[in-house]
Amino acid sequence: MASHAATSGRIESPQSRPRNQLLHYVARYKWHYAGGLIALVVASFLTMLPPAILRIAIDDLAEGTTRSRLVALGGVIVMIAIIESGIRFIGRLLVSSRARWIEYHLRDDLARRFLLLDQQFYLGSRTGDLMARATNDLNWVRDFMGPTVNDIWRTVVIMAIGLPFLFSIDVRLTLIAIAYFPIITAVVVMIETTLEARFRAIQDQFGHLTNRAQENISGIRAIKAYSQEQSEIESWAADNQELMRRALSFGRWVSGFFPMMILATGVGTAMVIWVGGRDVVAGDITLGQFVQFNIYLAIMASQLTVVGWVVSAWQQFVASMARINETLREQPAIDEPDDPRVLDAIRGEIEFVDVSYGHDGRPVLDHFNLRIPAGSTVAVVGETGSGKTTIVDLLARLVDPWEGRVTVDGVDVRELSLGQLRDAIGVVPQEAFLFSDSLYENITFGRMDAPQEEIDEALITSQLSADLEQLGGGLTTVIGERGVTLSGGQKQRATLARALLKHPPMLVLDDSLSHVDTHTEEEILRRMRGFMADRTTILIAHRTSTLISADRIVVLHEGTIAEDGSHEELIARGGIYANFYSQQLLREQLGEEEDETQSTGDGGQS
Amino acid sequence: MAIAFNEEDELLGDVYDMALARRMLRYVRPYRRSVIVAVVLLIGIAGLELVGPLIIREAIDGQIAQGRTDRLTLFTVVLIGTLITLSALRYAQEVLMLYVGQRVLMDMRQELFAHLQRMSVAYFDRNPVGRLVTRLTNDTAAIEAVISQGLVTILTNILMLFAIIGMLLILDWRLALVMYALLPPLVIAVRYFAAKQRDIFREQRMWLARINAYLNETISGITVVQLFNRERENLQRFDGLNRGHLGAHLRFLLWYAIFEPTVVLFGAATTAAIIWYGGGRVIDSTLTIGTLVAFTVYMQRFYWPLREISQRYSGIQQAMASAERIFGIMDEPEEITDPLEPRKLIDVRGKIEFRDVWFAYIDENWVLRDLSITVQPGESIAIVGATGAGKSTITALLSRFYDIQRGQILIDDIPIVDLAQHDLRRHVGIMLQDPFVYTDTIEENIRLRDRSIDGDHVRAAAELIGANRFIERLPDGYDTMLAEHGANLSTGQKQLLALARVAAFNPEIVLVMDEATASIDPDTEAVIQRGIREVMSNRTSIVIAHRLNTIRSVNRIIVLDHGEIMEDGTHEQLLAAGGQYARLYQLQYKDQDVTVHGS
Repeated sequence: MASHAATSGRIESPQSRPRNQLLHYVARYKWHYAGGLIALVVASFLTMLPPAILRIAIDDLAEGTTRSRLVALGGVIVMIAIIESGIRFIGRLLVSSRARWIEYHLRDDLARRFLLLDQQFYLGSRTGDLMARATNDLNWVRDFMGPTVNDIWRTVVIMAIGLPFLFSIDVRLTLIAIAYFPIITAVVVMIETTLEARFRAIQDQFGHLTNRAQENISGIRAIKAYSQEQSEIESWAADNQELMRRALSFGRWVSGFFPMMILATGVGTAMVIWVGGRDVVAGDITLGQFVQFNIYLAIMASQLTVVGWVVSAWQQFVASMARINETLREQPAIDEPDDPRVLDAIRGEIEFVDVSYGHDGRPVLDHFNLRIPAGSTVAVVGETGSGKTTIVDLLARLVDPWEGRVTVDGVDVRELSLGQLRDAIGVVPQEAFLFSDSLYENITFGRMDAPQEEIDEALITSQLSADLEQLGGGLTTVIGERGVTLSGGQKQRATLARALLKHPPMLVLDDSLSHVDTHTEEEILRRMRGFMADRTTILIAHRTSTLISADRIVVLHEGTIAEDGSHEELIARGGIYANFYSQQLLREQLGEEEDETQSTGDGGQS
Repeated sequence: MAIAFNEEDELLGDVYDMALARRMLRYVRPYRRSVIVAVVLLIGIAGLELVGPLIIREAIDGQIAQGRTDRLTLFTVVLIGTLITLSALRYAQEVLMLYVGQRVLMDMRQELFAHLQRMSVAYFDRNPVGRLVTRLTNDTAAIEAVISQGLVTILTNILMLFAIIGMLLILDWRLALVMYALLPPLVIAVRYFAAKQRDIFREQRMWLARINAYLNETISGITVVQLFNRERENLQRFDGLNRGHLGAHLRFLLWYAIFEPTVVLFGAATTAAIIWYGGGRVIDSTLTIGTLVAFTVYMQRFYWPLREISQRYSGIQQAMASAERIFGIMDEPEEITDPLEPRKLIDVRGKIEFRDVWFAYIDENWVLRDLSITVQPGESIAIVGATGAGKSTITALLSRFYDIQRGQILIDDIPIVDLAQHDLRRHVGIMLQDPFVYTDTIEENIRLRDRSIDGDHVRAAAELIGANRFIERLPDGYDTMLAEHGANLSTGQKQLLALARVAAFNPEIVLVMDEATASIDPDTEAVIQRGIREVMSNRTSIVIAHRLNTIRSVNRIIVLDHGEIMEDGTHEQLLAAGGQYARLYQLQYKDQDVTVHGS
């Protein structure tokens, strides 16, 4: 038996990082961002130089000049541009690449969270929604941290550097040209509040429409049964129209930004021509300065037009980041203990001491006690909802009990290293979940380094080897969404092989051969006998053939053990088990068991 | 479920994208008038955009350079007037295109939704809910941006480029030609960058699809991952995908970052050329300073559109990916269609006949084998059998949720495939075992938002069934809002709701799915049983029976096994025969018998 003690595959839970993970990464990349900012400042400064050179050229032309001087001036412009281009290239790379890195880190953090969080979390969330956070929402954040941050800085820097250049030419003219600044700022601030409300209204309606789509598609059978397609289409149309109405009411305001900026900056320029023209004639400034002034205004104006775009990108960013942070702050209820105990080897003695556990305040197990000596085989029977699967969940610590404790080799599972505990348990779950990958990857899921002989052995025990040829590609056959669809029985046998290959000291079969035909099941149980001999085995089952193979049978009823003993003892007692067994025999005679039917679901469907 | 992805898709080239774009444009056609108006406005905008530099030229050459200021005020007024018109036109044009984009989005969403309503139940068996919801909401939204912004941006900018090119010629053809000489290298460079970006963008899409698929599987199979201690290994594999994605983005960045510096460089080259060549011409007095300045300003505006187009590029690519997925659904054929000239069900008597019916969900895994059943008008039958015997399939087939492979199903001797689906289903009511509940009021849930059923009718139906007792005890009675999946109702109450629904729709034929339901209290149980009898009276009814009382009240019992009829007769006859029914009775109904007699 291979020992896997302490080879934990679990990842550490990142301990209380800063409240905002984004700020953490911005801080990590502060030098890149600082470098980007410096590059932007230098480049913006260089942008202001060509108009100044143009001024010299124009003034020279007005007074008469030589061609060689013009060539020199043009040459300087090209030289400056080459330097500026290089700096801009570096600056852009610095900032935008960090945005991509931040995206990468945040996605990694999300994936870590997903892997750490427990059943309880997943009961309350929807897969699609979680995936959206790691893709769509993250895209918005990345776009903000790259291009949008760049745009915001650019706007600020161009203004900050442009103004001194303007003032150096003529203070009065500058004040006239920028008279619109306060007005624009006031308008943007005012509109911002309105926009926020309107944006939220869109999001609300979008959520509403999503729910409606969800309801419609989940209830499509009822809708079709009552021929309500038409009324569904009509009420969808009403909600759809409302969403459009809200989008338009947001859009009408946002569309106003760009024309408003063009108007404001244009009027500034017009005033400059009106006043500045007279200044040139009066000899206060030169014609070259007049032209230079106008070009600066044009540069600044073109930058201001991005304001509208920045505002809506900001809205998206805030909403998306909030959703990402929400997930990142989720804490797993079940985690590695602070000071985990690592046992040399696990023998597999299991004990439930006074355990209570349930859902929504209703107990499923009620002060439940069960001791399973190492190496024995116990079958658990009981009706649906009697808590059979809960026993497995508690043992593997997928959930923790409300009261009492579960021990393995006398140690409370909450004190054990989670990695060691789970390595020591081979669970074949009720739902045969396989991944869309090769059969080989699926079977070696718990032991990637398993030698070929052991894989072959697991395949033979689970009676999967005969199916391999039929699958075409043997072990390399890709199954599930991207490949071959396995039958329900094949899936169950593959999950069995996966658990056997771990050679765990504790093995749990949770009703996991229900789609396997009776003949094959008997063959599997026969071959497993040797395997089970030195392992603690829990068989949750209803088939008579499985029940008989156990040393001991435990009957669960209303959260506690109603009967406990060997098959013969319990039959002799004539209680719940005897009744259950005779009904089950009848059922098997009636052929109620499904054969290895082709399952309609996909491989990756749980 | 992973978002469908197919790596081959990613490698299809421009031709494919063109076809997609053409198909998207089809949705714009109904609004072509608005688009035409927008284009006319655009021409006006492009024209007015040219006015500013011209006025500057006039102001310099005609006034300032000559030391005059007499017409400066006029120029200023004209310029401000132009600007006001320009902003108004721009706003009008933007709102117009916003309107078009939003209408197209709404139409597309509506068409997709309506298309989905026509798809067969089998289609919904195959496609997970989440995937279809994403198509209806997120994917359609991505397309809107392209219509309202992408289309306009590209059009505006192309128009601007041509307007400027023309204007330069008019101002001074020789200087214009010098400017044009700089264009070919710029065009080549931009095209090259765009092509590079496009290739890398496809790669990004592919990585993102892989990330999606992997995340989906990890989340769906999280328990297996945790039980097998695979967190670290899975994280490592995910990291491989995440890094692949990052790499594609960083490569993209190179081409994205190089774009702006290139424009800066060409901008400087034009300015230098204007100074070299234009300045020389000024010295020769063949060119005015005003024209020189106008050229400079025009060329500055020339590069602006290029930058805009490059910024919208990734949005357009994203929309293409979404469009592909949406059209993928729209191209799915309807599997169950109405006949061209449907026959009508008039004065339904309610005779049902299954004639030699063969049916399988997949291939030839027959669920029903050569099944023949006739139910006379007004007769009620119960179908019993072990799990998987094909009981519920019979009800699904009678409602034509699936089409059978062989044989015929007839109502009043008319094959159901000759009827319109809505006509058929109006006369065949199903009471589903786990009733579908809207997040809406009780009243709307009973009439399923069907406006032709009024409030009085709803109440009468509820009273007939006996559901009124619990409804009236609810805080808002019939106006009580139900939570998602009816979480604020008990199982029994939901079943009563479903029965009231059948009564409200008043079909001539009813199918009752009365399968095992635990945890219903005895009082509610009694009300449900009465309700079921009420619904079945005076109607042809087929019940998939669980409750012994229900089975006893029917005219005939049919025992089904592996899609074939084993026994047919009354409860007493079948019990006496001592066959499969007798065994089933022992297994499933005997305990109820004890309680029925005992209580």
